[in-house]
Amino acid sequence: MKKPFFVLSLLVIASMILAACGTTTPATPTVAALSGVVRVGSWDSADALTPFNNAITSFEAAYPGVTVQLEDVPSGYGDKLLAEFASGTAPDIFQVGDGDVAKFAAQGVFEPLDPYIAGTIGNNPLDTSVFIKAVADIGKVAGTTYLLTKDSSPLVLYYNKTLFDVAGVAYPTNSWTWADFLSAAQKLTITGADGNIIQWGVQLPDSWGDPLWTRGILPIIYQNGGDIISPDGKTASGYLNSDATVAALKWYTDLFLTEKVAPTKADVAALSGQDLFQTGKVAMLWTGVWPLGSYIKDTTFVFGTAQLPAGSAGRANSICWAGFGMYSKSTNKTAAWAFLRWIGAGDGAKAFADYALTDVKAIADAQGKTTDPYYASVMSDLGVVHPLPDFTTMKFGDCVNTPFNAALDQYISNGGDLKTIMTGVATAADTCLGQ
Amino acid sequence: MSITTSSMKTVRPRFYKTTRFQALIKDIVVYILLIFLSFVFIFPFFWMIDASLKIDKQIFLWPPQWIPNPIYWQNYVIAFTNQYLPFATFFKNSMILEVGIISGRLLSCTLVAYGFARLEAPGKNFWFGVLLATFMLPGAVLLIPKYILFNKLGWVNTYLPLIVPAWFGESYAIFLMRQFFMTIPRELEEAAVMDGANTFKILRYIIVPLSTPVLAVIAVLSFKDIWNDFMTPLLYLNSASKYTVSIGLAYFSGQFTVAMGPLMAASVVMLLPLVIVFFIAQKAFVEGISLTGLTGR
Repeated sequence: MKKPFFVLSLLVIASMILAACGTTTPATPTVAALSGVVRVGSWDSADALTPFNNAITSFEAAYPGVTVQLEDVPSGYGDKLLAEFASGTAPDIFQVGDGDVAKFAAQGVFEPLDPYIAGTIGNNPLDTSVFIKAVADIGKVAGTTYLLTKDSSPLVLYYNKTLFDVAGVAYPTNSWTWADFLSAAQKLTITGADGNIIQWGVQLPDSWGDPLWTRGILPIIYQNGGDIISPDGKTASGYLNSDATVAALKWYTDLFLTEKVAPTKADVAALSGQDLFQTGKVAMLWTGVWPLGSYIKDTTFVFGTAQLPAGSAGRANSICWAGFGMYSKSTNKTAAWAFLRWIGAGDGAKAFADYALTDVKAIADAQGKTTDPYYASVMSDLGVVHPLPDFTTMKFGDCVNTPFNAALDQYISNGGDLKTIMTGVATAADTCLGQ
Repeated sequence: MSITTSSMKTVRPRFYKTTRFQALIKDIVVYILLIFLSFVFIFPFFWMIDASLKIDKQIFLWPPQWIPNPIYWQNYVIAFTNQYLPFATFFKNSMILEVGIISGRLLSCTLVAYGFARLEAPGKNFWFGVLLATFMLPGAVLLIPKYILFNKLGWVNTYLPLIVPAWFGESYAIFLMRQFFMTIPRELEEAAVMDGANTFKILRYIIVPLSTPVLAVIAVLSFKDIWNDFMTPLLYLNSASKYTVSIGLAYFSGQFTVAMGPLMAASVVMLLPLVIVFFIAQKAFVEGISLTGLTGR
């Protein structure tokens, strides 16, 4: 997962995709009553801790009786949390990545937040209409709210304006369809005199060189009306091997196999150590929001961002997400909620919004993110984000994601009938999910 | 003429049969092997220093750029001026652990090892077997039970869970010391007994002074292990102000990215104490390794 060429500044941006919220100071009656220590666990490190410290400072000023203790774990965060869960001493508030939510929810380590949001516990209610709904809903598992958003990123389509101009292709718009996307990618793929491709149309959903990154492919499946697992997390058959999903995967893999408009894993590996998009080797890039800051900083680089193209089922996107949850065995829950509310929707959320995308509409507006030429399309795509399949069951990774990726990889190398292959994966996944 | 020639041949073997030549060949082979192995072992250090002087982009260039151009000292500045990375504090914390753990380990293990080597007690060999069995247990198995225990004692976020166990012996060190003590001639101790020494005096004036090689081995190996230990301090310490050097270095390696240049710069500096300790203790250390049978000698 680790990619060396990202610089320290990018570390800050990437690991801190942001927090949500609120703009109003919590109701004063609770302030006097709150006291004690609130422990906060995070995997962030170094400069990424700045928003934590800023949020803690402002919180402690508003709630003088409460001391917030930040426990930052730069590496091995998951192992440490597991030991703390085993002994009942996890931090009152802890950061959770989207891959761990289903597992932690099944272990019962999350305090359900709905009574706190409603104000029935803690007398400190939260108006959830301040959030971008699709993003805030990621914090729910089976209808129960367990987490408030720290930060998130949808998939973004970046395009190199210079290369588009040279090829005489119109820039992507937010009304692009798959056909527009493919046609532009074809025009922007250039083969050299020796028959080797010297410029590709697009670098596809890319997670550190892995073009088969499920989270990056999900938007295409959703855009075609497909899915990869049932909403209850119990079956994959009928979803992973549905006609809509298979057609989407066929279209996606054909971009490498028959259209040859995208660098394969091997091409990317051969050129490792450089950002293919920034160095002009690909004209478009399909990835998260994380490189945006460093592209903007590069003043010689002329590029734009657009929403992902729409498929037959319209517009859709997926998300990379991190949130904050409350520990079910916390001994200071009302104070912990006050802090969670502060960083999820209060002034603390502003501190996080400086470093990553917030899901609090008012903060994003105040930052100008919704009108910014680079961020506006990113923010609007947050509205079409689908819930994460990873949250449906803690077995998603082992039973669905890993075999799905392996099968797709096999298909790209060896070919075969995609429908048959996906039916095989789905059948095995059903058995695995049922165990 | 022909007779002379043939007799000369038998007197002067061909050059490749001379012992001098064979010794030369042997030396050449040995040196090639040594140079090759030195290269293998030195390369990571070279790479670390090399990378610490490059901007991130250059580090993973292929083909590699062996000599940094330009030399980029800024990595050292970035690594040691970040407000979230108080390496002076990390260094101090690591040293607290080094002193606390090594002194405890040397003291407790000497006592226990001497008992196993010399004193008689019912079931001594059985208990020694039990002791050896404890170091066959994978550390990961003990991680959570130990954490729960120390948490119940209220020791989490203190150095106690890291230091106190060292004062109650450590199987590997006890084993090494026992083997060493058994090689010390009993006559020395018998003579001391004749002069009226008790067990502690024998330990203090006979055994310990004769055992500096093994004590140095244990001290140096412990120093290295404590310096590099990441998981234990990470698990038991919660405040960044109590973190050690190894955790500090992890700050450069985020959840999604690695700041390779500053990481290597900090690693170079943080490696220095290990190198210094090794050179100081080198003589006793190498002697100790050969005496205790760690190598095949």
